[in-house]
Amino acid sequence: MKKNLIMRPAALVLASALVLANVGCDDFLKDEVVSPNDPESATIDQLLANIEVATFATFNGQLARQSEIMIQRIAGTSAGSQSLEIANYVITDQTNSNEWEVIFNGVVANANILIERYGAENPHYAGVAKVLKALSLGAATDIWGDIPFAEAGRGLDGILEPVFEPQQQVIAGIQSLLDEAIADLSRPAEDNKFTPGTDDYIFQGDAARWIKTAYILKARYANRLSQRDPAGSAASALGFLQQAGLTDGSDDALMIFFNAGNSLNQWFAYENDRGGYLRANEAFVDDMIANADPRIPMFLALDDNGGYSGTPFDDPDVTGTSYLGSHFATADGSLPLVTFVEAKFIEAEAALRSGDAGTAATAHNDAVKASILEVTGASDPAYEGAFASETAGTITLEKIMQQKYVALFTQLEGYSDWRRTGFPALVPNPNGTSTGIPLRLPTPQQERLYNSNAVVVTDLLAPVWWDQ
Amino acid sequence: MAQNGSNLAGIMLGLLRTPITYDLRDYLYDQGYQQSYCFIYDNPYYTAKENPFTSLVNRVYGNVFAQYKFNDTWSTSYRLGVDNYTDERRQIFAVSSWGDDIGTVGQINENVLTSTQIYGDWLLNFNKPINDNLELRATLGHNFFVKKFDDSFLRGRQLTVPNFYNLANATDLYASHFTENQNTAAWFGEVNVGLYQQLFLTFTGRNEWSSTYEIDATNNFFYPSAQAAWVFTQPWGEGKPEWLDFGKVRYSYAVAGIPPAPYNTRTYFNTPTYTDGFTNGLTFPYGGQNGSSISEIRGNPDLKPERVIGNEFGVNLVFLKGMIDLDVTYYQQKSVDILLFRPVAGSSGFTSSYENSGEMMNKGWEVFLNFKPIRNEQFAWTLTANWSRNQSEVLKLAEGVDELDLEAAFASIQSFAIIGQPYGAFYGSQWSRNDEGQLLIGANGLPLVSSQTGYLGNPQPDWLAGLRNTFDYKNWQLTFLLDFRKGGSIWNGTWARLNQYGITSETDDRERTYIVEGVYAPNTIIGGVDVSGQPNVTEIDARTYFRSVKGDAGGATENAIEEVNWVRLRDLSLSYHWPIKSAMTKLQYIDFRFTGRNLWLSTNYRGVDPETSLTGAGSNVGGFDYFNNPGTRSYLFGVSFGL
Repeated sequence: MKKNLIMRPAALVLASALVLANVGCDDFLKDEVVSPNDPESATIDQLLANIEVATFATFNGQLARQSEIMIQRIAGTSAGSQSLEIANYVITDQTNSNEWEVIFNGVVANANILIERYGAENPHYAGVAKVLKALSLGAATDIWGDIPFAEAGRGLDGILEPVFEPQQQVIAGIQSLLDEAIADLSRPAEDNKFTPGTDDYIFQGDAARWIKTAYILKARYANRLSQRDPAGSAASALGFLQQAGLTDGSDDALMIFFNAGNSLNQWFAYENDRGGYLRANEAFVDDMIANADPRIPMFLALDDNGGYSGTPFDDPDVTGTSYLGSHFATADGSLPLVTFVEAKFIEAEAALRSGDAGTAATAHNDAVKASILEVTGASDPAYEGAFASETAGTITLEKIMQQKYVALFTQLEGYSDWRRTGFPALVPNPNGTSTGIPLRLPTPQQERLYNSNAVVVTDLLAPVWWDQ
Repeated sequence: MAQNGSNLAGIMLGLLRTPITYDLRDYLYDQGYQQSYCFIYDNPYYTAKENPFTSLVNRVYGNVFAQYKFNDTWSTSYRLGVDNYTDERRQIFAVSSWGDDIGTVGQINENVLTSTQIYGDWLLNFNKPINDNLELRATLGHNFFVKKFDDSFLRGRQLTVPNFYNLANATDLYASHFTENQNTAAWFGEVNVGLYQQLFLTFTGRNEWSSTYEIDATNNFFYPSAQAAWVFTQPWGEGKPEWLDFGKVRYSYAVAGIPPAPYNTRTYFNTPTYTDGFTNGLTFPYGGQNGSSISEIRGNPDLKPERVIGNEFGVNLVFLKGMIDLDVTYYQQKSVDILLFRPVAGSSGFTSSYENSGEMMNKGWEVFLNFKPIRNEQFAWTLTANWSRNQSEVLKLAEGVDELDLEAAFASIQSFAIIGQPYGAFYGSQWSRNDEGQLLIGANGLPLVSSQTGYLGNPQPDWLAGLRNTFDYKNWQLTFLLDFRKGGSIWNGTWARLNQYGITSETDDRERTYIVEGVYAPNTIIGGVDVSGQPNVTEIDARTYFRSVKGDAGGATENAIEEVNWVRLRDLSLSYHWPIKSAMTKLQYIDFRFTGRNLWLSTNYRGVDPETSLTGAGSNVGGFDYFNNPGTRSYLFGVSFGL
């Protein structure tokens, strides 16, 4: 080849011309424009599976760990600098960027795409996506206050600086989103081209159970306004619970995990990868022991001495104490997301606030019993005699919130409940770098820097709107 | 390959966390499992011996070249070349190593990287010395360039039989494939004019096409350059001063273009992994079901090339019959339409958007001096020195943005572009201060960390210098290079962490209490009295001080930023040249050379060698040290034969 070319200049010129002609041809450039690595679209089942897994990452990730440390059910130990920092309230606008992104990219942006591209032909899918979007934006507003809502996750439409809306407006938006979801999910199956199946880890496409979940969420966010509108919030919450039509925990929405490398229950995975960073808080454990709580063996793992003990939240060097037990931290153990137990506690609290102490007591007792049954598989007459036998005369908000605090262990709700009601009474960590227990997370750095429409709050002690 | 920096199976994380009373050499239990002091960090001996990384590179390259001369003035040539390599990489994590994804279950990663580059250059040359005072050369050319890269990745996790490394032994298999292709083509031309053997002018132009622009968008751009050089000693002729041998000034103006990186004109969907860095997180397939998410990176169909506009002025002077050769350059390079993954507000659903965003200026001096004070038959001493100073300044960022995160490097420190600051400024957590700059202290005596992160320093050195001395005596040669750096900051995350563990020498002073200088924060109440604004008198024990003030268990990242200087003996080599004058053999000479590299370092840095990088060679940010491996010292002995 080489020899030939040198021998014949004509061949050289021809070869050059050929190559140049090829270059001139558009295909040389256009063939490599589009990535061969990733597609430009996703199917509806892939999108829903993704939204659910992102939801699990949100509610069983760092936000949950931090919330637990804030309300002293879990103590961050000095085994890990990162856990110790949270225990000492060293939280910056960079600490939770990842969680913010998982909510807005993982859940919200994908839910928007699912709803807009496929929702009209597949209302059940759209309904599920709306419930999950409401759930995550609810968690976001609870912990960050004002957040984008209408413009959230719409970067594909060119909105790169979404407008932050006041929390009041966000919660109103969540309520109407859930109304839309209920309407979508109430459409008959034949209106759907496709309905969710195994891609819906939570309910396998069971629209009726999704509707119940939507109503509990409506009750959750109605009741959230207890400080802003005590009577109205109570009436709304009770109304939504009525519509939910719950009888027991069989319709609980759970986070689903599998015993495989990247599908693990994250309480389990955390202890695996970050052994000793988190331990049950001493006071939380001691209270359960003092009350002979039958949930102890499921809630807590055995400590190094074969018993149950906790690390004091203000002494992070205490080690060898109990981590979370089998109810929360097994490889493929599912975790509560929106449950009957929560619904009953909301009912108790709302009923009490609206002056119906009898209903409040009954709901409270039902909630405690349901939790015991769900966790231990049996009822416990002694414990229920002491803590689930309230009457109209004995029931108090503190009792309800104390029992809810225990029953909703590991759930983000605890942090909102404590901020809202002040129960249980907690004192801040004396080693903390903040003068009180943080009441929120600061607005993420990326919003402060790149979103001129952001409402930036950096004071960890500035309460969110519903907490004022 | 031992791994650098923050890596569970690296050397330093495990090593520096282990107390000196613990013998790491005993690293194996009977069954072949590792014995380590630290939970989640490998014993350094174990990782060095049991977690091998191998890389087998096969490379083929070459070109065919043909030239045809039409006559003395015109000629044409064509070169067609190829450069191809495959790199078969294999990383093993033994069962019981913490380096694998899951932790102590064993893992095999097999990567096959294939890179192919094909290029063709056609040139048409014109070369005509018209007369003694006018010289003219010109070139017209065309170039095409095809770049293909493939990465096939296979991963096997959870090995059944320990110490047996075949993917068939894995319980959990995963495969992925990544391709990146880019085609470019260009027409270019160059004209060189020489006048009176003293003035030289060069003009170039290049019009370049790239496949990385969107299909219907403009995909080709023009880049000009011009250069003028004047040998000002030439017109003097005989009247030139005797001490000056040669003098030249030069000036150039050039515009260079950088096309976008491939596949950034569209927004894609991908398989996400949701992790906060504490666990391996969640990804797909999940329960046998696949999932897909809109990418976190927003594609952009309207991309333009990044342009670098350079102005350079230089002087070259030779004195005293070549004894001194001095070259001084001053340059200014302005980058406009910088292509980068600009971070955007996560609430948009994206975390970054690939854009032409911002402007930056680099300007600096480069001085090169070659000095030969002694030259005779027996002995020569040559001194070569260079000194450089580069200052970068970010001039403009995206609309409304003053500070921008360049690259996620590490949780506690970030690298930023900040308007008015050098590129790659440090950004991280800082202490809370009052308006007078005093630290705000809490009731417990600890300074408060601001929840707002901010600018912490700049890793760019003030200047760099090198000084090489070479001595030739008869057949012997001794040469060594001293290397200097003045200024520039490093984030010493290792130091902060070791303070926390009480390992640094500072922590020796631990049998006392400490009081942090500062004033009590607003709303601080001690014993029922509001002490806000009063000087801090609360004592804290040494342990708390070194962990939460000087250490990274609560201490602000700003603590760990250090300004760094160094002098180092980069290399020293001694050689002997043995000429062989014998008719018996064709051998002309044998050279013996002994070289030592990185032999000596003097620095104010509180750590191992500050010349390390956590983010690695592929990164455009730097200055991070978190349990980085120290630089290596090496000794080489070489023999070469001359025929």
